Amino acid sequence: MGRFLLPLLLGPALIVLILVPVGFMFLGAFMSGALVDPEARLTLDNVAAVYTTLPYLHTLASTLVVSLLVAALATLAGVALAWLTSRTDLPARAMMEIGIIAPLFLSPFVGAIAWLVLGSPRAGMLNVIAAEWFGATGPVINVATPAGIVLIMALYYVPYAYLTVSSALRNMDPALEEASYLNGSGVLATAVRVTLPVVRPSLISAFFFVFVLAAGTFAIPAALDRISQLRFLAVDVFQASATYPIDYGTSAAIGTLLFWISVLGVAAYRFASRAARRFVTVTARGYRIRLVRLRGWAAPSVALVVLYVLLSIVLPYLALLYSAFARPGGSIFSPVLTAANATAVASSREVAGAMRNTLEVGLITPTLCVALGLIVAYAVRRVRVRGAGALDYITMFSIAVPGIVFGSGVFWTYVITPIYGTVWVLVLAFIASYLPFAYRISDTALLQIDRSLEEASALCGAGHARTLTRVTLMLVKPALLSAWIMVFIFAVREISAAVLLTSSDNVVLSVLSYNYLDYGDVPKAAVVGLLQTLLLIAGVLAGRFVFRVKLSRQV
Amino acid sequence: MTTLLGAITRRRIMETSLGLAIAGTARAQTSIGITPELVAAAKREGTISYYHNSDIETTGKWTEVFSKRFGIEMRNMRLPSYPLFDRWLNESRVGRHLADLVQITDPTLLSYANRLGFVAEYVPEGGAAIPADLQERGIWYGLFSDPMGIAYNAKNVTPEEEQLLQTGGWDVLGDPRWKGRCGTATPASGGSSYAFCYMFLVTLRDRYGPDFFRKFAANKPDIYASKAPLFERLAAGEYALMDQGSTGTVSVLYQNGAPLRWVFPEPTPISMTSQVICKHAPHPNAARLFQEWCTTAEGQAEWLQYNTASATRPDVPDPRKARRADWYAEPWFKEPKTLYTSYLKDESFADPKKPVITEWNEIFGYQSGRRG
Repeated sequence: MGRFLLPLLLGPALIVLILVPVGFMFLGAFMSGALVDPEARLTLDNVAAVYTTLPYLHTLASTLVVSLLVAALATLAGVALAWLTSRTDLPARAMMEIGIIAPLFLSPFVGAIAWLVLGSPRAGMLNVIAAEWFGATGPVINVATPAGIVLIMALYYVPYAYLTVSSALRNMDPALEEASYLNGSGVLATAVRVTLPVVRPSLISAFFFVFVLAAGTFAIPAALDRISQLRFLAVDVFQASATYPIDYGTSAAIGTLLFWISVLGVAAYRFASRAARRFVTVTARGYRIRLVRLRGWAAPSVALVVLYVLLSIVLPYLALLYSAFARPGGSIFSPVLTAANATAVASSREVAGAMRNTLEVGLITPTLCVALGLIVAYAVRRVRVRGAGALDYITMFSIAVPGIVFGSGVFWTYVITPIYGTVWVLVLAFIASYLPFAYRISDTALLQIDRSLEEASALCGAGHARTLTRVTLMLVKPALLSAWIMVFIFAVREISAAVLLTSSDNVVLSVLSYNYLDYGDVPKAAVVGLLQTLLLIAGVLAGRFVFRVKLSRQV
Repeated sequence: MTTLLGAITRRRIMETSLGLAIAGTARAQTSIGITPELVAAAKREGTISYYHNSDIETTGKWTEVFSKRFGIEMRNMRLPSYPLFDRWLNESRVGRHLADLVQITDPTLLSYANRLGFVAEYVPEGGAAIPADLQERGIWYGLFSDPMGIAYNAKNVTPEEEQLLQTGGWDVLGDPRWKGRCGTATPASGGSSYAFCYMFLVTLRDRYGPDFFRKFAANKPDIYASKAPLFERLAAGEYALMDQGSTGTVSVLYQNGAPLRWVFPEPTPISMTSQVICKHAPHPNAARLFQEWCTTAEGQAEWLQYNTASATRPDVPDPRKARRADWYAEPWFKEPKTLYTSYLKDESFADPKKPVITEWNEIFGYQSGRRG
């Protein structure tokens, strides 16, 4: 009966949650104004202009090139770091690993502002230090250039590539490498001829995953771009919908173009990840991974990880701390410290409210999202319901819709309902956006569980429900908790859709930092950014110590 | 004490459309001020949903004073002017009336919203004290004004250059010495930026026009989609100067210790923080009470406790000026003499297509990701 009932329940829910907002985006692309503007009419002008005229095609090309470069760089760094932490005897691996995934705690929006403080050509802290200490006569780094934007974006997407590849590396059967070593191959030959081919599907899926995320990013290129040196579709979507004259039609039409790029990226990602997940790796048979001894390479390897952590976390946070606690205009070598910003933020009614709302959204979203993801995965993978393929597609659909595009669709979906203006509209938008992550992690976990474990339970006389709760759920629990933490991080950081759906009753910390920045108050935005990070760290630590979850082990 | 806007009323030169100010007020509901009946009715409603685009801290503290005084809870929502206005418009069009009052820096859009039937006509008692060119009677009321000049980083200019800035007028922006040392923001970024560019490209086209901006564009200013990070970078020392230097922002950075100074060439454009009551306000009496309080001397003086923009009521002095404190004590500071306000009633300024943006983009070779 579940084979028929489940899709009847899940299908409509997923359609409202995901497809209706996307449908509004497509409808908007064919309107001359806002959907509810009585003067708006149906038109092909927006789509014709966006799909056929040079400025947009130029932006499309530049978005593709930048996203591919970011994906290549992030995947390369992610693979190298993943190999070091999963397959070698790198010193202090646990700590190194925390450092590598730490950029997840920094909102890209706040991170971009931190990098502007660090790397603008004349007053950037790094350039000032280079001039003062090393006598540099010109800028040694300029983040407000296409190369700078690509590098900063790559820095922030390394953890995504890392998590995807390190999981595959850890789950790989070491017997394959052992066989290579037994046949006389060295470390390098084994890595290139055995390890790499085995994790290649994960590597390709990481590449396209980062590509899709990068193509939908607006915060970093918007904050760092100057004089239109770099055109980016997501920035154009934002500008057309947030600056005057507001042009919803063009914004939505560019959104659809971005959507198709993401669909292509997701198709490639799904193809690769399907190959990557084909193997059952959680079995009743135990194994021990043989670690490669780095010997003389240990120091350079540690240096590589430290360099990454320095660039992605240490320097941006130093810049944020400087902005938050130093009086502006002073020397960075002898800053005059002030607690005024922190005090103002701490005593602000707005910040207290935003903290409360962020906590609510941060706790409710991942709980419901993971529950829904697991139900869909169970329905598709274990119950094999009718229409499983369609459910799978709809669930993964929103990964192709950047938040900046999805937010306006969600607005039109819920504006006439009572939940509009409450934290629930954010919760629903975020569940829809992050369901693919929860679903994919649940699905992978279910897929990797050898059916013989459930069969053994059945043979011992346990009923279906008992097997489900005492065996299956117990085995996927670590993965679910990891998914919960991942969605928690996304929900606390999310800014694009949150800004489009904000109201007086649902302001969250990310919207507050956006508003501080919009008013030129970088110090308070930095304090709120730091507060957001503390909240994220508290959540992740709770997961790590209370639930014994290691994010990097389950993704 | 003479307030900034007191100076305007005496010296106004640009009041081209003063006659428009009194138009269309026959249906406006005239108030008798903050009466016990109004306060009691407002208290029964208990809450105000306030859409605004001002500084979060200032608005939070300011509205808290109102809350304590009248026992009414304020629920504030801040967004930049244009997205905020559009949000309100779309909510109103589908009948989701969440906002009681809307405050933005482009009052011409508020007039447009009134033509669409989304504004409640109401004449607060204190409105009579606000100059006629800073209000559309019964519709929107200008509460605070913010003059825009040239802001510069004192550490990045020589004494000779500072002298030039102090005396050279707006044309100084075209001086080639600023090449690669300046920044600007696109007029699409907000109402104040648009008003600034509108003055040169429309109102004073004969005197300045495209040539003025072409000379400035030849200095290759870095173009920001939003003014906020530009102020921050100017304070950090990235640039020598920027145009569109809003007093409200540069003075806060100055107070925090940034080496910023500013001059007001003539005429000086202002951005005007203006406010309307929504036609279908869910708490209409509380909204009227707040509009009343905002236009009183008490309400405006309270704002000046937390913010450096000027009050629109000439009888509300800037306390810093009275004390000759902060920048009023600096030898480089001179108050603006002639304020540019006529755009507030200019029909073509209200054109929602905002044609000045396209012309400005062409002059600066800036592509904003939109057609036209």
